[in-house]
Formats: sequence, structure tokens, C-alpha cells
Amino acid sequence: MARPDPPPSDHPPPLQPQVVLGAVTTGLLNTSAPLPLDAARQVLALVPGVKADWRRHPIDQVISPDLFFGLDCRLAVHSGAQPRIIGTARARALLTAGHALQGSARVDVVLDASRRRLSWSHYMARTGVVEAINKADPADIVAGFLAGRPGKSALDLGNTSAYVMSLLDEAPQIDRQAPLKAQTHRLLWAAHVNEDVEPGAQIEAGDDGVFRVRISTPPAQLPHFVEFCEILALHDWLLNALRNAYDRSNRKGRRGNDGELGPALSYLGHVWNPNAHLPRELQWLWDALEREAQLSWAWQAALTRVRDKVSLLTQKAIEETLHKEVL
Amino acid sequence: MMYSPSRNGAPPVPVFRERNRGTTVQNLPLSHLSVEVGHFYMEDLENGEEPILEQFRRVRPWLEAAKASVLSGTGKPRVSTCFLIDDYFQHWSDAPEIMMKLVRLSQEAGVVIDYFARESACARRRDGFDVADLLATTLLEEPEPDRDTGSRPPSTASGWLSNGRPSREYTVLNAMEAHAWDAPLEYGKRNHSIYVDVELWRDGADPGADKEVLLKQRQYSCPFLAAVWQLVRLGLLRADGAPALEVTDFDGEWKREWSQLPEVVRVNPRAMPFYAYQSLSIMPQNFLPIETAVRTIIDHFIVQPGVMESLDARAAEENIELSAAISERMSHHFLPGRK
Repeated sequence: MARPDPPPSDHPPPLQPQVVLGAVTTGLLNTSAPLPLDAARQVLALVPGVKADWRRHPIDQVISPDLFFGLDCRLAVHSGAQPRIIGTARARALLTAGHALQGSARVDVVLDASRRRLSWSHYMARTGVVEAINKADPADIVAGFLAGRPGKSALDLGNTSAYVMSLLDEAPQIDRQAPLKAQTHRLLWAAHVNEDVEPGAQIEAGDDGVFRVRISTPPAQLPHFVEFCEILALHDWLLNALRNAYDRSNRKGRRGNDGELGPALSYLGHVWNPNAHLPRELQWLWDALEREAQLSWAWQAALTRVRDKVSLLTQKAIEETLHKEVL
Repeated sequence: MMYSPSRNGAPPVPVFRERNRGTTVQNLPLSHLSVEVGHFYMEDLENGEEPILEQFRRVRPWLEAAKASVLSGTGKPRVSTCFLIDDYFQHWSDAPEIMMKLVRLSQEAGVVIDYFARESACARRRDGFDVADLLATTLLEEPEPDRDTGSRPPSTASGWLSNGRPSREYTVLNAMEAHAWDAPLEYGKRNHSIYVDVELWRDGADPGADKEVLLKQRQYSCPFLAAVWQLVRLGLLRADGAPALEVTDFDGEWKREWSQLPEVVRVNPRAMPFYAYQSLSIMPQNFLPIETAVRTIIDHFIVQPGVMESLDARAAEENIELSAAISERMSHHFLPGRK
């Protein structure tokens, strides 16, 4: 999501990352009612001494400052030895419409930086960056990360993004009484960064329910792609949450699940708006995605089904009441 | 640019923008160098005047050398001096007496002190704001080699911070050797390890106490407060974009209680700015282990977003190149002798 531009710096970073890896986890904030903007700004001030960024139009959104995580582990690759990386990952939390919560983690990978682990002050002077010790092929790193099966000692940004979400559980403003079940969803993205490439992306929905976005971009456009992935993750989650609520209400012999449709409508019904914070530079990518995956059509269809079902149930309830009165 | 309907299908320029920065980083007035001109424990300040005068006299030539050699780029050199009063661990002394003694003796030795600061303010401000907690909550532990995959939360809950792994002794069952030992390891070692483990604070509150109670009963270590002090001087420790400790002008009267004294007070009206790109601390050599601990702590400190950029941009305007690593912006001179 668009953060204000960082202040300009005249120092060019010494080494540009060739690969940037990211994970976005999306879920429902565990509250009985959406968090008002002021409360959300308090809760998402995850770094002491720094306030959260926020926007009100067209939909409330609060973005936490970045948290950093120390890394010394391997990158999953298909061929050859797994490169060892040392440095820090960054992660932030985003809250949209007061209850759609996301953890967004990323790490910038600089290849061939040094031959051994350096003193920690070196890595703290370039937070958010990891340096790979052994040789590695950027394309292989992208493919290995998106395969998404990190071994015991391989980078796991999914966990990092989920951890940032869990930080909100402790806040006193959160009553932990969400009226709706909604599974968390994960999106993985990986970018091959190169000054000379045209920006482009391929999006794949896997059989494990995970969206995977493969990006190639010049460095200046990378922040737009990060926002794009966060927006895509949010809307993929919304669609799944609504469909799942509907499916659960249809299961036979599970009385009481109809009760979830009301909260599903009032919680999720108004949130769909992929263009809300979409960077203009990537409008073409969303448009292309819509032509092929038709996410907005799917959302409308799911919403119509839920509304129709609620109408029918209401009608039935009225008829039953009238019937009792006649008796 | 005004919005106008496009004729050729090109995308229109944006007409609406909303970007609310939670925190805006303040641009501070900055000196090129902040020099700390000596340091005493409170008991030394209470006792005889001769050792105090003697230390200031020994500080003076090094202060002059620092002024003469400061890196000031294209600008005229700006150097300010400061002195940190040790009122955290002992504070029952008579504040006006000690302050006037310090001002008088430093002047006698030819050392002009521009700013005085209180060590206890590095823990907590007069308004109750927990300054030390700003640092405590932004320390990042070093990842274990080949082990940390991003799943471990960043925390220093133990009150200790190290640059590696301690030595380990253990008993091996059913083995030829019943007793085994693993050497300590500095994670970022060059050839051989120098393992450092620093006590940051000691908690007095019961485990599980709420944060406010916990912080009130926490005793910070001397290196921890000195690390806060260094970061404040370097303009790197901020509360909502403003410096964590702000400078107050001296109003002509020293209050009786240490706790009533300003956090940082400017006693020289012609002083250059308190905050600086780089820092130098001149002090007796027995503070070397403490300053090693200070550097260890600062090597694990995460700067808030935008702060480093604000300083770097200002430095670039003056043609000064600053090190990216904070501890490379700090230097020390250790005086021989006991005090």
C-alpha cells in the first residue's frame, strides 16, 4: 500500500538487490466489531516512538512501521548448493476496513556480497537486506522461493508475516470475539530486479490455495509491485472468506451456521475495491488479471448468492411466524 | 498540473492524493562533532576538587585536538561540548553545589562545557516518558548462524545482549568422554572470537507484571544508559520524530533536586548545536569496558524510519560523508591514570 515517499537520500546504496522475496498473510482481526480508525492507529504503532501511517479514502487503512527480523539461513534452490544468507527481513502489518489484517514480509537479496559473515553492525547499517555468501542464480532463487516448501533451515517469510499479525492479539483494544470464521490465506511473491527489464508479472493460483506472483522489474517500480501483491492477497482472502461462509451455511445437519451469513455480509460485503489503493503504474496488471481470472465477477457472484440466501431465509422466517399466528 | 480530459487515451494525471504520515521526522540543528569532556562517578564529584580539576586539565588538549581536526566538509566547523552527570545510581547529593563546582572547575581548567545532561533522564524523562524503553524495544538480537529462518521473534526479553554464543559445558551419557565443553563464539568474528555479553537491565517486578509496573521497577545498567546518551547526542533516538531528550536553556538557577533539573540544559548561550553528526567521548581509561558494552548495544539498535535519511541528507549538503554504521560515527579517547 502506498506509503509516503521516503525522504530523498543523495547516497546511492552500494549494492542493489538482484532478487526481492516476499510473503503476505491475510486474515480476520479477532474482534467483535471493526476497529475504529483511532484505535487501529494505536494498535498498529508496533514500533515504540513511531506512529502508524494511515488513510481514510476511499476505505480506512492503517499501516504499521516496519519491524526487522535477524536472518542467517539458506535459500531454497532447485539446483546446486543452497546459498546462505545473512541480514534482516522487514515486515509490516496492514489493517483495512478495521478488520482485514495482513502481515507483509520482504527481504532484499544482494548476491556475491562477501565471503563470510561480517560484524552485526554491517547488517544493521542496511536493514531489510540480506547478503548471500555463496554464488547463486537469481532465477533459481525466485523459483525455489515460490515453490514454497522451505526446509528446516531455509528462509520462511510466511512465518515472519504471520508473526507480525500475531502481535495484534495482545492489544487491549482487541476483544478476541470475531463473529466469523475465516482462515488465513498466504501469497508468495518473488521479484527479479534489474535496471534493464520491462516491468512484468505472472500470477499463478496453486493447488494449495496459495497465489504466487513472479515479477521482473526495474528497482524504481518494485514498491508498486509490493502494493499490488498486498492488494491481490487481500482480495483473494475476501473472496475465499465469503465463499467459505456460504459453503458452511449449506452443510446439512449443522444448524446454526446460517448465523454466519449476517456477519459475513456486514464484515466483508463492503470491502471489495481492488482499485482503491492500486498504484496507477500497475493498473494494466490488474486489468490483465481481471480479464483472465475475473476475480471481481467471482466476488459479485458470491455476494449475490449470500444475499439471495439471506433473503430467502428471512422470507421463510416471516412465513413461519405468520403460520404460527394463524394457528 | 490540472486535470484535463485526455484526448488521446493517455492516462489522466492524478487529482486526488491522501498520504498521512504517522510520524514526521524533525530536522535537528546539528554540530559536526559533539565532545563529551570527561566523566565522573557521583562519589568523585562529592569528594575533593583537585581530581576533578586534574581530569578537566587532561581533557583540554584532546578537546583542542578534536576541534582542530573535525570533519566539517564545506562548512565552518561546529563543535559542542557536553557532560553527563551520574545521578541515576546515586542522587542524594546537593545538586546546586555540585553543578556550580563542575562549572567553576571546568572553566578553571580551560574547558568550556556547553551542555549538561542527567543520566537518569536517559532512563526516564521528567514528564514520565520512558526514554530507555525506546532503545530496549528496538534492539535486534543477532541471528544464530545457519539457524534463523525468520520465524524467531525479535526480542531481548532477558535483559542481556550478546554478540554470539556463550561457552557450554555438558555431560555426555554413555560416551567415552563424560564431560564436554563448547567454546564461546562471536558470530561476526574475523579469525578468533571476542565474545561479549552485556547486562542491559535488572527487573525488580514479579514476572507477569504489567508493563508500567515492570518499567518502574527496572534498573538499567550503566552501559545501557550510556548507549541512550550516545544515540541522543547523535540525533538518532526519537520519540514521534522529535529528539527523545530535548535541550532547555539554563534559567540561571540550579534546582535542589536532581529530578527537577532539565534533561539536557544549555549553559553556554553561544554554544553550537547539541546534536551532532559524530561524537567523541574523552574519559578515563577505566571506562573502556563500559564503552565496549555501549558499542555492542548500539550495534544492535534499529534506527527508526527516516531518521538516518534526514541526517545523511543534511550531511550531504555540507559535503560530509557519514558512515552507515552508527558505531563508526562514535569515537573515544581514553585518558591514562585512575581518574
